Amino acid sequence: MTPAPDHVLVVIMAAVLVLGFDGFCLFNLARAKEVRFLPKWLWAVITLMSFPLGGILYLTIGRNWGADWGG
Amino acid sequence: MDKFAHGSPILALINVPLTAIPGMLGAVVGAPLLGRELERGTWRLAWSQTVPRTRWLVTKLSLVTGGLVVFGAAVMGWLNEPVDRVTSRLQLGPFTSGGPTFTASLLCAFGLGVLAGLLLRNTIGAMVTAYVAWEIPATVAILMTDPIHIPGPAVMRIVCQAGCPGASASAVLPVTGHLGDYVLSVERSGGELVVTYLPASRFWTEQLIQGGLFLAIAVITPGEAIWLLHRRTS
Repeated sequence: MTPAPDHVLVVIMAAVLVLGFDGFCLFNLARAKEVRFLPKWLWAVITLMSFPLGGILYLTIGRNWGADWGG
Repeated sequence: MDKFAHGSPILALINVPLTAIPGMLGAVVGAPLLGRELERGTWRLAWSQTVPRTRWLVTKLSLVTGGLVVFGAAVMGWLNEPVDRVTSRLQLGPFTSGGPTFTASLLCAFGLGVLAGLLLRNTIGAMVTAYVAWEIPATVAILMTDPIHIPGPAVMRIVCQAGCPGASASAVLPVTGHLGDYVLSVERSGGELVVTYLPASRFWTEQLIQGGLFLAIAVITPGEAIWLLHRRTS
């Protein structure tokens, strides 16, 4: 069974959305000097495991907005 | 009404926050139990009393577990009782928000929260970790409620009379003629309707399988927490 063209389009759009958001979160996490409440690796696992909730949780709870940025 | 038929993306989307409730509730109740004690240093006082710390934890755990069981079984049972009379309890929403599975998944998230609180020693991190960990058995349970059925669905063949008018999977009285049956699909094949469905009696079998999965975690995780706390030499 070949998938319908619009299904392929939906899958591509979903993939772009997931990779974009998770990529943004992980990039942000990697560059952050320090994060709150959990170790960095656990935030990475949480971000990857549950889309989009994990990434949203990292950005709202884990990200230390006041801290200086590394780099 | 087809967009609300079973298996539709819209219905799945509506069900996501609904199925998240026991996980969030359990994690929010479970994580501070040991997490806050360790975070704030109040464990020094609590664990130096004449009551052994293992018994202190067992008492706390049983009190909260009792409360969650009453909430899960009594409140949700009472809330779902009128709904169960008009829809099939095997649909994702009623299935996960009522019955023993709901209580078991609540206790599962609670146990994960308690263990995460002990290991991570901070309340908010433990809540997040417990909820995300709870999503693993919850995803398995959701998959078993909709696309995967163990045991497989039953099939009924109905001989068509007068072209089988109005035969659809989302009819209010199911095509099987028995209220409470969960019709998965209706297909026409020659002069027959082939109905794939889950009989209403399947409810308890599936509740037992999924409830067992959650309950196993709900027993192992607080047990692990008690054992770790017992072994710990301060």
